[in-house]
Amino acid sequence: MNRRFIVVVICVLFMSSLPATELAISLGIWNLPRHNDVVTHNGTFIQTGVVVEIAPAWEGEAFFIIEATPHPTDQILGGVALTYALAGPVYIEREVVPNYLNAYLSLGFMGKFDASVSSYGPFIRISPLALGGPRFLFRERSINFSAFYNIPKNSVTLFWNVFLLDFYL
Amino acid sequence: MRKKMIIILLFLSMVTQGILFAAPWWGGYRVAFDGYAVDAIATSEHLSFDLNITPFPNLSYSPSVQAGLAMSAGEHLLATLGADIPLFKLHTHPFQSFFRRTSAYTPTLGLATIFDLNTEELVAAVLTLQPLMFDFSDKQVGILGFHAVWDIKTESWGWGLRLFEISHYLW
Repeated sequence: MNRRFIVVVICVLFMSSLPATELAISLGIWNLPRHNDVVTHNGTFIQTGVVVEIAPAWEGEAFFIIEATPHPTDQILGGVALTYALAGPVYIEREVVPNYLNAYLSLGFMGKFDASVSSYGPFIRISPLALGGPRFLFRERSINFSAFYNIPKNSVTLFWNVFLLDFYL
Repeated sequence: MRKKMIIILLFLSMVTQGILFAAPWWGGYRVAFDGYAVDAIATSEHLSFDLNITPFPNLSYSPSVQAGLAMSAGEHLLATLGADIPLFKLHTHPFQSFFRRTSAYTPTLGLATIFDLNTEELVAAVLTLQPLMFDFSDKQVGILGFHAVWDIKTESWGWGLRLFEISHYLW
């Protein structure tokens, strides 16, 4: 009885919220300095995840950072972030013309899925140049800079995404 | 005199506009991010800048020629020379809803050579398949291309990924 009730409640909650919520799939590249406390060997990394509308100027993000070369999936990191649009709301009603250019500030938490190398902690990210948005079906966040505080190592690592592409569904 | 001047100006504006609209794009630059899993090339991410020329811009399947530099922090500077050709063009494609601009889906196949400027040696030949390439007329954007790399020194095959590339035509 209880289980059935919970399933019904979840279904009702999702039915009411899904049609109004903007959702995007993000894809980009992730870089960090050669000498760092986060990854064990150098290579190239892909960042992919989902971006979801929370409020007109707020969005949530969940992502994975996956090693692409030379050893695909050998190193995987994951994280979540809460992002605020600095130059005006993004998720607004149809009658209002949105900003094409925006900037974002994100706060989040990320970690590495590796039992032998412990790396996790909060990060702050600034996305100074973002073009597009949900109304334009596509958004390009360029030159994203982040500072990551690695709690187990008690160190700060800077990393960056040259670009993050968001494809709105 | 004034009437003649107006007619000449109108004629000139019509002619030049006609040239502008009729001229296909033939040259620009390309920026790409690559990673390799081959002995001859460092494993860290390479950023490459190429001059990109399309010698026969009126052809639907015109090849493009590229020459440029690829660099990676603290690693050898590489020079690259190559060419690529679109395999086919689809103006109606499943990815078009992702883009606001009109796009064509144009997977490409490319061949390039890599020269190490520090050791002054030819180090690799690269065959690249770009399955996710989109043509926006003055821009081409590709993601997750696959490199098959022939390491000339060790005479063995390796591989790599072109994570992202954008070609921007200026002329």
